[in-house]
Amino acid sequence: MSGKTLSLLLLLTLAPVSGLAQDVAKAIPAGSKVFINPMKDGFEKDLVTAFEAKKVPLEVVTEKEKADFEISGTSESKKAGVAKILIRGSIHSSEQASITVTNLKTGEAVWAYSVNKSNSAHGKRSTAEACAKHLKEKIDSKK
Amino acid sequence: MFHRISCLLLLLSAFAAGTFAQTTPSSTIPAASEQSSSKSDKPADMIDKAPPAELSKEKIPAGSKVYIAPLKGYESFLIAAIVKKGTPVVVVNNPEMADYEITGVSESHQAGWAKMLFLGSEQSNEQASIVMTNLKTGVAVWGYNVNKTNSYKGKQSSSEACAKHLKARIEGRE
Repeated sequence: MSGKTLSLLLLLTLAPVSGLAQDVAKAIPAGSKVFINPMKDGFEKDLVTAFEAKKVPLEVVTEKEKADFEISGTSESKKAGVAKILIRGSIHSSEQASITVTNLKTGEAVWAYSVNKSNSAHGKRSTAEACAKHLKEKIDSKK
Repeated sequence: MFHRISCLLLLLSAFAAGTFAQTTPSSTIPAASEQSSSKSDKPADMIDKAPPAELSKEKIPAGSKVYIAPLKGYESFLIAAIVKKGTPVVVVNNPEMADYEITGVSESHQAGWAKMLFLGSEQSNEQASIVMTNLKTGVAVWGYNVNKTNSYKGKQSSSEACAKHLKARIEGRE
């Protein structure tokens, strides 16, 4: 009887610990070193600027060997054509971007985000800042 | 007289043999009319194999490690969609660490002036198709394709559709 109770207690103790371990594995600690891979149309530069604008608590490094995390992704931009300007009355571009944060030690993707703006007020800057804002939320959540 | 009868019999047997030779291969190949004549030359053991759809019934365990092959940038949207939809897989950046691999293709067409003028839509036309393969067995365990004529969020919408259906497949709802 006591053996069964002990097993049950052990199980109840370990279950939340394993859940916590999973959360920790997916967490991005503030102050982590991150390397941003070159992206299409130089989106990595917009991303670095957006990190500064949104005060994302990460340190961007230029050498992958020194980094804890890696950011890779893609971005697409389409300027408003004559039809969009005349018919829809909009001069804003259509933007979409997607980024993935990978833990370089485990090789697992810990966070990813995609954004689509059909009338982007500031072009790539808007999509980059959206990515930065959500990444900051992820880091602040500590999960 | 005997010579004529024997000639007639020989002609009839030759005609019957020719007809049999033509009908025999088509009876062993399912839907032979859809296949080209070159495919009918395959050996019988290859033809009798179960269709690939039967192999896709393999269970995909939750928490499996998945590697997404480069898809001209679409892989990034796919990872974001997997995170957003809570698909129970772990995405890894190395195929050697993975249990499954996702490959595929995606296409995107922006709305032209005619679509904007006549349909009043500036949303793009998106289509994507992905296949998930078990790296140990080499068997395609799941596949899905999506076509959105008025994609509200471009590639994000099509990738989220893929992620949603992958989640349903893992959870046994599809």
